[in-house]
Amino acid sequence: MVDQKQSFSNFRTISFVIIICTVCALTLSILAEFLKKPQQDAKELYRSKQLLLAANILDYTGHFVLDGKIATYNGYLTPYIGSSPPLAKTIEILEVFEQRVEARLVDDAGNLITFKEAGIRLEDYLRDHSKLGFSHLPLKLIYVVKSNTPSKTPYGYVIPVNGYGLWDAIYGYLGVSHNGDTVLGMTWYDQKETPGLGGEISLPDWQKQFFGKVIFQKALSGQTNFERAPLGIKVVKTTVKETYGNSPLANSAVDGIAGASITVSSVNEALRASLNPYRPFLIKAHQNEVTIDD
Amino acid sequence: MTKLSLKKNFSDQIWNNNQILVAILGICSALAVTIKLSVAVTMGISVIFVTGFASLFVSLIRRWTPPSVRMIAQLTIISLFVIIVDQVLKAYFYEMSLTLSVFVGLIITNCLVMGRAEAMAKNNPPLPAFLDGLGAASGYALVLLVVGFIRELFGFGTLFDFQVIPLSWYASPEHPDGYVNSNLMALAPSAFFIIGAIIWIRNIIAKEEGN
Amino acid sequence: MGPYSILNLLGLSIQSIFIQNILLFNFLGMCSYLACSTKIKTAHGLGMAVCLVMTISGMLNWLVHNYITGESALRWLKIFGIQTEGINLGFLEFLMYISVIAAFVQILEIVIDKYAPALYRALGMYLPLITVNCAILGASLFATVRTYPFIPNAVYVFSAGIGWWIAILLIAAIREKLTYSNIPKGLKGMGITFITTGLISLAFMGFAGITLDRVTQEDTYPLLVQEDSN
Repeated sequence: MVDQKQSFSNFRTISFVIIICTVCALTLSILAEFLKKPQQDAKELYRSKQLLLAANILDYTGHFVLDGKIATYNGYLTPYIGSSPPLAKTIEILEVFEQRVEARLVDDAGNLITFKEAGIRLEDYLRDHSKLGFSHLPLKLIYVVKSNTPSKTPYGYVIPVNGYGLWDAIYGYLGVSHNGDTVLGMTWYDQKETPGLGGEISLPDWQKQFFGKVIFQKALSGQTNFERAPLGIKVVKTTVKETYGNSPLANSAVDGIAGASITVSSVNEALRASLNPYRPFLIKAHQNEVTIDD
Repeated sequence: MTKLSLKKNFSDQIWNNNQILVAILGICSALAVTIKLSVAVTMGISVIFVTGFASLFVSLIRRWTPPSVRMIAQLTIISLFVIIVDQVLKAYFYEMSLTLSVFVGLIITNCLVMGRAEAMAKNNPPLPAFLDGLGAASGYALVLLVVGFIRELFGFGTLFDFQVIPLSWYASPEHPDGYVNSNLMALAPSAFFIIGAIIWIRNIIAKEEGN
Repeated sequence: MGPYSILNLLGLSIQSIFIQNILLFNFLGMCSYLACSTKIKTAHGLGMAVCLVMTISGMLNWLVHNYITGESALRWLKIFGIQTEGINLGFLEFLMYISVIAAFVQILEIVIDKYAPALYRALGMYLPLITVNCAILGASLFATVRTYPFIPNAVYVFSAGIGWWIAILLIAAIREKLTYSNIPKGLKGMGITFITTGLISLAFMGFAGITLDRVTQEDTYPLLVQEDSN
């Protein structure tokens, strides 16, 4: 009699467990299926925004930018004339990204290769190497940004940079123009630095300084030796004005952040280490040897 | 169940029995997520949603729950709602979900949610359990809001990322003795100090009311 | 083991115990302790139990993430001819993690009770309490986010457990001493504990900057000699 009761109770327990598991799993599966597309879109949107920011196609207030002026999108970007420009919509951002940004690979000799030619799937490549960075690989990731109007010369490139900050790894994008030298923009989209100190590197005000700087450091004479010049943007300890004054070296430097010395040197190191492997490619770009099909 | 006692289920949790200040439950995630108001609000709403509905469902199935699997069943139901919150955040509030990262998942082990399920939901009818859950989480959210308010205001000078302390007050090369944001408030341990102070204030007020 | 060297593992261990101590830096796992007591003996019992559960469940959850719920984690099913392109069970991750932890704790309790009664007396009563300890789930979740290979993952969760244990001991010791101090009435108990914990956590932030755990990589493109100009 007791045994019967026991086995009945066990049966009840097991069936209860099975029912709860099934109900939960079913609910979640249905929900996940519905939310799959919005989630993918959200992720894509975030990545697109960061890349477009670095390439100076989107600005920090949420408007499109064309040649330094606010623009609107209508199949392609046109300058906006007026006092209250509309913000860029999600669908527009994704379209512009689709249109103009393409992920490619650069080899040690500086040749541009498509993912298809290399026989690698973009998703697998990103998944395997996002954490430790791409610049140490034989085939390095680079984003080619095409012009607003169809052209064989790209508008610019975005290079993923990464390094180690004070607390954890830092990841960012550096946009350079088609001459391989001038900076279009810099974003640090993943960092866990101290808020208020090192965390300032994610703020627009600090990132805006990078616009127009050059990554190949000029010699004191004002000339640039592309083969041997140090590559990267230097974040100085105080301000550029104090450190370099009017010297040509000021073109490759930005102001530092008080109290964030470790984060600052991490940024310097990250830029130096991540950009150097792209040197052959950047030299080719500077010599106008890089073309893409439009 | 009179209307008055239902209301009491809710309001009791906010002051007399505030889960963080009195029962000291649920502090784990309270500290890292109070850095800015927007983060604190998101976390608060998530916890309210999870606690309310988890309590509701635990109460609904309480007659059929075998005692041997009671705890894991509660955990499963709580996880169900936490995952719902997490998936919705990832779909529609992607950047917020990046900031919150693992703390959404940690709502599962938030003592507050489990505590309400164990204390109230498994022994009481659905509606009081639901209200009690909502109330407990609201008390928690309130504390989060206060701490987040103080930390964001003094640590960054903004509220909801809107600059509140006038930029002209800040120190600059021209007048180096100007206002500077408190870096201590931007660090997580400051949440401890603030909660300690709130507990102190609350104890003083409660003691005076008691006398 | 991936690109991690032995020195990296040591660095990872130091990082998890002191610098990013899971209790003092991430503030996980305090609830169960603060509500309990102020004795050092309790702290030892709790610490041991949490460390053990954290380590084993951390390793089990690594298996769950890499073979069931991660992105394209179901590749191994190809051996059986099942096509798994496009199936992503990521939404079940939390559920599986907490189930693994709860199940492991339950089994552990039964096993210890049966085979090591002395050990059961020491830490058995804490086991049900720590199933919902934020730190244990937290360690698994952090490990997932940081995508460690298997051995670094094991080192990480073990060190996180040790770090939690040390932090709990510190707080217990200080609380024991505090019972004889002259604290304002309103602050007695929880109030002063919070403030003390905040101070300890600030102190631990001083450990930041140790970089042993960073993985170094070979450059495929040789660095040129740089002229250092300032």
